[in-house]
Amino acid sequence: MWILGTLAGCGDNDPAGAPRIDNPGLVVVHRLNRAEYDNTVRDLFATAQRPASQFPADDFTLGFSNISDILSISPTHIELYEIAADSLLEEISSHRIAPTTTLRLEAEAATGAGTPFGSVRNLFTPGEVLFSAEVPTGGTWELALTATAEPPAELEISANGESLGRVLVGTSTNEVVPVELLAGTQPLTLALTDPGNTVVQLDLLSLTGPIGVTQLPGPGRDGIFTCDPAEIGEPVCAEEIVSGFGQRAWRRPLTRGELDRAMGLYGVDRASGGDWEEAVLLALKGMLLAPQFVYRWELDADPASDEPRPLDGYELASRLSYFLWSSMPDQELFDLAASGQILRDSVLRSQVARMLRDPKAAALVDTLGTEWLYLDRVDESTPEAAVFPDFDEGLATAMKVELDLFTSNILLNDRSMLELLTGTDTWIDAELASHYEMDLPPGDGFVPVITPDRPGIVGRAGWLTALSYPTRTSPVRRGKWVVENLMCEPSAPPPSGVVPALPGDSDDSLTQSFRDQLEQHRADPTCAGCHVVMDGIGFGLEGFDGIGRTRAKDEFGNAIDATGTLVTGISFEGAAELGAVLAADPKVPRCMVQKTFLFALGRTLRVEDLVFLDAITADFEASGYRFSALASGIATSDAFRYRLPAGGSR
Amino acid sequence: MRPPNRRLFLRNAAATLALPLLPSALTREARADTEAPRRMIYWYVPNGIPFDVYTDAQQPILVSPNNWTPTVAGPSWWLAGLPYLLEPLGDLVTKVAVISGLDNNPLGRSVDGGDHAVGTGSYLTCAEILSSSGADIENSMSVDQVAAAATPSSTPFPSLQLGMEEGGSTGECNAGFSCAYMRNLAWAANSTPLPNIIDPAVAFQLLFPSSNLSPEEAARKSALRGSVLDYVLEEANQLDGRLGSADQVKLDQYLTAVREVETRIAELGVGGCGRGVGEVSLDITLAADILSDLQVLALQCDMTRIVTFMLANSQSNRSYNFLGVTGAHHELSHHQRAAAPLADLQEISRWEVERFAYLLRSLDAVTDVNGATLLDNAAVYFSSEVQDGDTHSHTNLPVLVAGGMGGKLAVGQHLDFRESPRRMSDLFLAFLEAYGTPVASFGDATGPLDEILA
Repeated sequence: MWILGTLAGCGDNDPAGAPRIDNPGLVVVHRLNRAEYDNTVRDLFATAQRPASQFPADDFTLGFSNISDILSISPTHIELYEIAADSLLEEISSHRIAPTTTLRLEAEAATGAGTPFGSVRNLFTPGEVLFSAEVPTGGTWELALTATAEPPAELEISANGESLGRVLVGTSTNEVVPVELLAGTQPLTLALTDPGNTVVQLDLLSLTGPIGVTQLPGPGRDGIFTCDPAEIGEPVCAEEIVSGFGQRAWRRPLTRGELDRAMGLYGVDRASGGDWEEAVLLALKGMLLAPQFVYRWELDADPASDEPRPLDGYELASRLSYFLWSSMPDQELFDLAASGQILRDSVLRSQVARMLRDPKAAALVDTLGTEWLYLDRVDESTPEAAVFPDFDEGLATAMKVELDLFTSNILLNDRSMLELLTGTDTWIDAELASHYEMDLPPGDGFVPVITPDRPGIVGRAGWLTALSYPTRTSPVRRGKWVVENLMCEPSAPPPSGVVPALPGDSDDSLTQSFRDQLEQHRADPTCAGCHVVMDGIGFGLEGFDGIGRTRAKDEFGNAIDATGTLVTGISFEGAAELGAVLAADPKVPRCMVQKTFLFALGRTLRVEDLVFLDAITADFEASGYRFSALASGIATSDAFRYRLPAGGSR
Repeated sequence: MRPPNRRLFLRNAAATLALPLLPSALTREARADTEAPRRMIYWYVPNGIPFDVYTDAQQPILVSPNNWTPTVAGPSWWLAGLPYLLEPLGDLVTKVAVISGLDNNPLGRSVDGGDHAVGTGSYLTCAEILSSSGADIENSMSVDQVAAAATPSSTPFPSLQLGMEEGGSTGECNAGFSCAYMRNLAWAANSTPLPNIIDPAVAFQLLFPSSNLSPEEAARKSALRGSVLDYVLEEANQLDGRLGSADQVKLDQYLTAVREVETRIAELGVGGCGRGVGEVSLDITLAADILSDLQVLALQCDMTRIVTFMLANSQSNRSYNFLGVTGAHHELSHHQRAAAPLADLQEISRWEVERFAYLLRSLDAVTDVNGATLLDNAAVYFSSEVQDGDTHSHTNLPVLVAGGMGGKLAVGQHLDFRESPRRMSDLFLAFLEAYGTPVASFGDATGPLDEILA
């Protein structure tokens, strides 16, 4: 993007006699990132499990977590893939074990014998300590005590007066005792078997269970176990399942060799004494751990070639589904891939339209939208309670929901994307209504409202909070974000040795407004180059405090001056005017194209991409800045439909 | 008697583990002639540790000369009193070396805006990191991985990477440098960072998988697990030779990872080493200490001998309001020599040293097979990516080295190289030598730091 920033003006100089297929650039094989992994297994297994939340954070660069060049893999990934596969396959197994829960009964809540002492309860006399457990499901539970006793002591555990067993407590032991419990409210008691000799400090009684209770397999089983081994024979049925699953998991038909190798696992399991279902599941597990699942491959017949080649139907279907859904293709895309229809322009366009109407397109907001527009970044903000006592977890969640609804409405309802800067129709709940000092129309939860003074993303509390410091606003951070993410202008970091000339918040001797301080700062020519651009925008948002509330005075009691100037010389006052002048800047739609293109391909941009960006931007503008036109423009570009084998230059 | 705290939950779970290296008979009768394995732990804290304290932004006046560096050099330096930030070490000082005047500056210059990325990327590699458009990452193998690669399959886990922050702590990564440099310490190869596990429960599950199976059934399942990985490797080999160079790099990375897991399974044999822990909601101090407990356990059980740990990610903006500190860490670290943020930073730094001291105490409480403590048989390193978050300097870094690595390291002294600075890579060369995996060159090293070798 640095290159693009500096060469953007040179795009017109591309020679007219360019090759027939514009150089589509080298796309390195993509490892599924966490969002893609979770969505893919959701579609493959019809599961509610989201195992990737346990995976290491994805390598993140250029603003996105799907840039394949840097997505790496480690032994930890492999281990966690294995745990995920076991858990997903367990869910479709007929021996599915019901999940266990852990009940934590704190000593503070105990009654009966003993003496409360801080968070613990000391017991040395005869008599029973009473805990009350809400047991959701009857069965075997594992009881563990967090307790110490010096010298060691033995405790008798009872439920409803019936002894369940004994547990030994010492200085550092934590014996686990299986106990049989009924469902419902269960009184559990503990009593010393030999009182008077020692003091037991009880801290916590935990119950984990129920152990070993089976339940019905999950809904994903029917789509995977498509035949009955009793009817068509065990090996035949196994092969049908493995082949069908493999085609979906690997997102293309399997070769004979691939099917045979997967069936090899089935054979190994049977030979070891495993039953039919276990053997089938082992083959599926292998396929889930194979690189063909974990990565999105586009294999070249001749890797050394430097000629662009068209993607085949399956490769194109995958690129499309991971672009718009962050997930695997559905059956319709697989069918169009098999017939080759998907390679046609008109089919691609109609598929883009269909896919954007599908609920799975919400992934666009979750991935592209969230990473680009900071929809969830308020999570990383830590407003100081002393300065912003109103800020809490509930408000932060409401802020994220609002940003998500606002952005989804524009992207998925195919409104003009310039409304990301100017849109004033949004959804708020009671908490946000009070935060925005607005009347809440009748309705439950989030209801639609118009916020005339809060335009676009930059008028939403979630964004304003994310781009503030814990105790105050930051016109610089806000302005820098707009410049980098909505105008795609790189901004240079401060020269080394230059300390940002803003005082710490604790320096209460200063009462100048930030504007005055920043104006001084900008008098320094080493700072002016960038700060003229960033601060001018940030000032326009000074009417919102560090958690996005409207305010009339700044941190130092000075009246807010929300006038600003773009580097182009256009002046404005306040957020609404800022939104309007930004929306009129031609850099903005161009930047939207650039961000989406980068995300769609998951690779670094190159100077050669200017020709694609120009063409897509023209279509985008002609459509009135609809996301559907942008997505179609990208999907039908040669950069998306062709591939440069590794032999080609980057 | 003090009330037990929640930490006991993990402590107690740990105590029930079968400890393969430390059967109880052996623990009681540890024999000095037994050779104990040596270990390495590398800790990282973000945003530097400001040494000096000033009163005024305009006219700096040193209040107390230095809150970190001991006033005297040589052994028994603590007799002159512990600097404020080292006070948490208490009587552990006899097992700690404070080293002043070490630089980690392979570029030899400051990088505009990229100092956190450069300092963290080079933290254990002492090598230049590549900043291109941000999509290529290139570093060198880190010191912990050099040691791990030289001692293949001595433990189920050649190395363990732990951390506390998921990522994106500042939103954007540093001036054209990929976030990979800021979230990882361990680099297995030039473009293979090893990510941190940040959830103690996940780490515990990986290290000590629980199993209720009979020995026969466990053996069968373990064999099947091996078959799956054989299959996966075979399937990966089908791609070999059909790929361009960039894709081949990705496949090689995958193959390396699978082979390591395969070795792990073989080492683990059947069954596990214990049971998992329940979900515990943790404050930051407790989370850090539980991750320390896990580090101790992993060494005690000989699951691994090499650990890296990031107390936070590079340029972390974590809030330390539980210490009474207002503001975010990275923002505060640009203190401009103002008294108030410096006082806050001091509390954060002291908390970091307290956490480190907790780890050291826990290591020192475990008797190893040779009768010495785990700490005595380990080298435990503590530093930051910059000396001071305000100046971003990569010189005279705050460095602590604890434990004697089985008598190979001379701790309990203050080594002061400020007059003629040495390189961090020289210290790492000495570590590799003491660990028993010497190498001829590492990063920008000029030669092993002999002064730390016993």
